[in-house]
Amino acid sequence: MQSVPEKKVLKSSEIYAQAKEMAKAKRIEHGVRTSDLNVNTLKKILKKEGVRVDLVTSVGNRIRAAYFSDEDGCSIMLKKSLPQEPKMFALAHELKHHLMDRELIAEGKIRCGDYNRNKVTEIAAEVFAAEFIFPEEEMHAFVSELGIAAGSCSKEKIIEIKRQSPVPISYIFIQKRLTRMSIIAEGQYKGVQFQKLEENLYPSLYKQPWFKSYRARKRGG
Amino acid sequence: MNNVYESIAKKISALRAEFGGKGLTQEELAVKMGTTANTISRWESSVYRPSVEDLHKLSKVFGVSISTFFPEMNVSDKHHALMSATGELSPADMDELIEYAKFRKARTILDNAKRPRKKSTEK
Repeated sequence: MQSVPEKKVLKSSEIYAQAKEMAKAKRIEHGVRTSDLNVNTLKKILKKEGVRVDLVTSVGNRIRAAYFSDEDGCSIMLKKSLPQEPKMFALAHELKHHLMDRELIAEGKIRCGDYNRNKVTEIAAEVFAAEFIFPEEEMHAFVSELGIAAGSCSKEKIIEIKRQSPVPISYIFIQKRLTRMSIIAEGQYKGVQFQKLEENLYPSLYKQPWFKSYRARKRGG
Repeated sequence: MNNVYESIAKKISALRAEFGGKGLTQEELAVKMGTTANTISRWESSVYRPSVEDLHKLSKVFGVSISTFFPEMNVSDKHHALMSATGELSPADMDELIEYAKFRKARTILDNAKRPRKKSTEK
């Protein structure tokens, strides 16, 4: 009987490094430019990779997206009501499953609904998505241009990063990346409501006093 | 090819007739679907072929699963899927995934039904 060569078991750090390399390679393959990335370009990339995207209105509260691969093909169920940033992140996350986990999914070796068993797979998908959307090196350069360095990143600076980012990214994304880049400490801004803070600093047109009085005048005839 | 759509046509007609115990007119169903009574009539006589999205919408209006339109549909309870979720899934979340798996299966059935059959090479 022939002996089957043993498959090398990778450490989780090696799996994450592989996911990051795959993201870099796929960006090159699809000619991705960070500033051009949006939900539509991601959908086009997925289509080229043979994945359909179905926007679904009624998914459960906790599901953002799900990747399916079986005899009915490969597709992603994506929650329609998600804002742009998490929608993009979810699509990139599911792209990683398609590229790197498809066989295991089809064989039923990894399945949905069991996060703990799939923890490394899921973290690797997060690593892939982050690198695919905004490569770490590019973000490093971008943050430096804004004059942000370790220990000098205030809440307001984080808002500035979000507002000036070439690609839509969430506050969670920014904080995780800045932590990874050792610019902020882990959990430094835990509990900060960045969205609210941003609205206070930069009120939308409809909330600005001059617009409110203008609208009141208009309504008054 | 026609069997699938004929079966769907009969099912739409039956569900409409049974809806809420007293039934719906084609006009009433058309309003709920955001289409015309003419389209409903043509779906029911298999002149028009409803898309998988139409069937999904119909299933929501009638409060049934999309698999109702495909009596022979077989969906495994083991889903070959991974997802981005924010925590452990509830039974309702799992139901949504199962319904999406059925939607995918329905799409495959319709795609196969649309595909022209190869001519047999009789000698």
